[in-house]
Amino acid sequence: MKKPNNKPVSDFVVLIRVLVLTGWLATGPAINAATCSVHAEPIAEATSSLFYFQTEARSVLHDSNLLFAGGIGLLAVVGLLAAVSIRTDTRPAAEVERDLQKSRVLLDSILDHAPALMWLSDAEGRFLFVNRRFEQVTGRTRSEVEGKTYAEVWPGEFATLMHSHQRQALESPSSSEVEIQIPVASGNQTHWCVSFPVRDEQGKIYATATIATDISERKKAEEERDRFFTLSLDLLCVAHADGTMKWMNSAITKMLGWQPEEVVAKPFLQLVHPDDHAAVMEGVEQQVRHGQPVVHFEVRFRHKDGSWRVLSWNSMPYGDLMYAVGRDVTEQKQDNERIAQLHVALQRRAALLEASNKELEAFSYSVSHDLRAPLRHIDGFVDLLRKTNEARLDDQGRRYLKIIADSAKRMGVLIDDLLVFSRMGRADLRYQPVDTAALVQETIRLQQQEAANRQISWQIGTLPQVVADLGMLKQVWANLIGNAVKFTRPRTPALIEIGCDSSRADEHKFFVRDNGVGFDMTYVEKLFGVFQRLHRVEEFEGTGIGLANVRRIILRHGGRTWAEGKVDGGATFYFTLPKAHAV
Amino acid sequence: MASHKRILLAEDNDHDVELTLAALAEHNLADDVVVARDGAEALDYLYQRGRFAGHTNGLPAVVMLDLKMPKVDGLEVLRCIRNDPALRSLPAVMVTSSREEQDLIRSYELGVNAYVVKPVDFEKFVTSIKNIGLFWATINEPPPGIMKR
Repeated sequence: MKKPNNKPVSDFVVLIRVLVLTGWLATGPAINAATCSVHAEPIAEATSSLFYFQTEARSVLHDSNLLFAGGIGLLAVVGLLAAVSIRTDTRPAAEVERDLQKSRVLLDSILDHAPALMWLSDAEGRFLFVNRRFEQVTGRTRSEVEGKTYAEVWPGEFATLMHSHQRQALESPSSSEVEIQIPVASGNQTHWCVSFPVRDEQGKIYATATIATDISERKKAEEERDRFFTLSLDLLCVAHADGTMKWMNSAITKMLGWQPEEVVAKPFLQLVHPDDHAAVMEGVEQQVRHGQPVVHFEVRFRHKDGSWRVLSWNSMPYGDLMYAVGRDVTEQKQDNERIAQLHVALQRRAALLEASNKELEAFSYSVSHDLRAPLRHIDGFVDLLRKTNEARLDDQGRRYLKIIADSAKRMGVLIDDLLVFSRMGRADLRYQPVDTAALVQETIRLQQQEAANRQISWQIGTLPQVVADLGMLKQVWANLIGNAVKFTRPRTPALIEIGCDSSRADEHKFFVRDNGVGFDMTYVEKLFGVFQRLHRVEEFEGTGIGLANVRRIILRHGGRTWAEGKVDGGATFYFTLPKAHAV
Repeated sequence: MASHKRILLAEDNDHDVELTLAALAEHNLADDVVVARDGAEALDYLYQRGRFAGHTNGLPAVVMLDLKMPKVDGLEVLRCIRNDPALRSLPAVMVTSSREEQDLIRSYELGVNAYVVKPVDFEKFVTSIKNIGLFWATINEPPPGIMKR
């Protein structure tokens, strides 16, 4: 150790200062009694410095730097020994000198083995002393740096910072602390530097002592934690028990437009909607008074732009602080409201639909019962009239009666058709596997009985099994095959082709093609309308309900219907059925 | 011939009564018919009360019920018949304009013996009524206690 002056008393003062103080740190009140018998001057020196070490040790220990704490502990033991030896200091000068020498060796040994960087520098920032740890960490030897300034050793930012830190330490009544990047062999390391002035025996400051602890690991951990906080989309917030904001992450800017510094140290409630103050207070009450560990509440917060955002909070107390996580649920709230509104609207529509279905049912029930009776009466009494007045009727009279009866019968058929059509729309679908090939064969067999003396060439492709309402599907095939038979009546031979294209993944496409009279594509959409016909009854019989039924049934099965045709060029009717039916 | 009324026709519509009787007349069954103008009258006849108090015709071989009638409808009459141990076995046929599925289901649930839809075409109507009359009043063997011609 290079001494600033050679007076032994100066060394003694330094030694005492270090040792006594370190000892005091560990032994606490015990040392007070021990120091009572020591020379007054060093004791005064020592006590004036007590505060520095106390602060240092506390802050450093608080940083959980175990290595450093270990060093402090070691120093404490030595300090205690020294204190005990000093107490009994009434021996001859030679003996004292010997002990002093011993202590100096001990001190050097301790300084060299301390796990923290320690150095002394003079007012110009010249290194007076560095310990071994300093050499190891910085890669600069004692002889390289001693007598040189910070700027000479490390030109740049570090020197500037150290100078200013040192100035502070010299001006400050206690120690000065700073976090600083020290250039080390492997780059930069963040250190926590504690500096304090060192005085000579006249009380004049001749140097600054610095103890630097490596806090790189802690800084890294802090950075990682901060990155996490910055990344968080949730608003993380710490508040004091009095309701003022202590800290929050940057999510507040994204969420509410405020910068953290605009809100920190201000009352939490200042941002809360006045109507929601009670909810917040209730949450705090539950937590503080009733010790509920986690409290959840939803309140409106003022955005910087003046709007209100709904934040959902989970808050937890810890000590005097309140930790809270807030999430913006404004959109969610709005969505929920919209969903609720839609739900209500949907329910209303469903109720209307149900009511209208009921009405329709009542209507068709009434049609079924009441509309057919008068027709039956017309036909019945026309018949009775004809039978009872046979002799009196001439040809014209008989023709009139026939027209009346035929009209009544036709109206009866129309009503029946309409009722069937209505039933197709209302009846529940009873899904079951349907063998299409068998169903088509059966339909053809029934049709051929009616067209027994005609020459029809049937061409049937491969037909898949489907899942459908059998009764309804029967109607579909009966209508389509019946139409093909009917509208090929002028053809000899009639050609009817039935097939299915199952190449698509989601549906089967069935078709019935004929070489019949066809139709004008201009009216293609009329084909599927109720009672829509493209031919006069005299040409081709029928009411025009068949294809309307086909469309309705296929639609209810989730399929589509369409047709292609040409006048005198035949017609093709298509329908699809989903491969996976919706149950 | 002492007319034993073998057919109870419950029908509120005059025209239908007339046409039904005309149809039955073609097979000489008209005299066997007693007409009730609604469900309440039909029950009066079966229980020999009201307008039909004290009649001595016994039970009919068949009850032909219109479904839709004022006061007590056909289904209600059917329910009464099936709920009364004395009438339970009485053959009952629904003769109605409607082929609504709900009517069919309810009628069969209540134990109807047949369900016939009156055709608009009078020729077919006559055939239907004649068949009902012939079958239930002459061909069918009624339950014990009901006279057969």
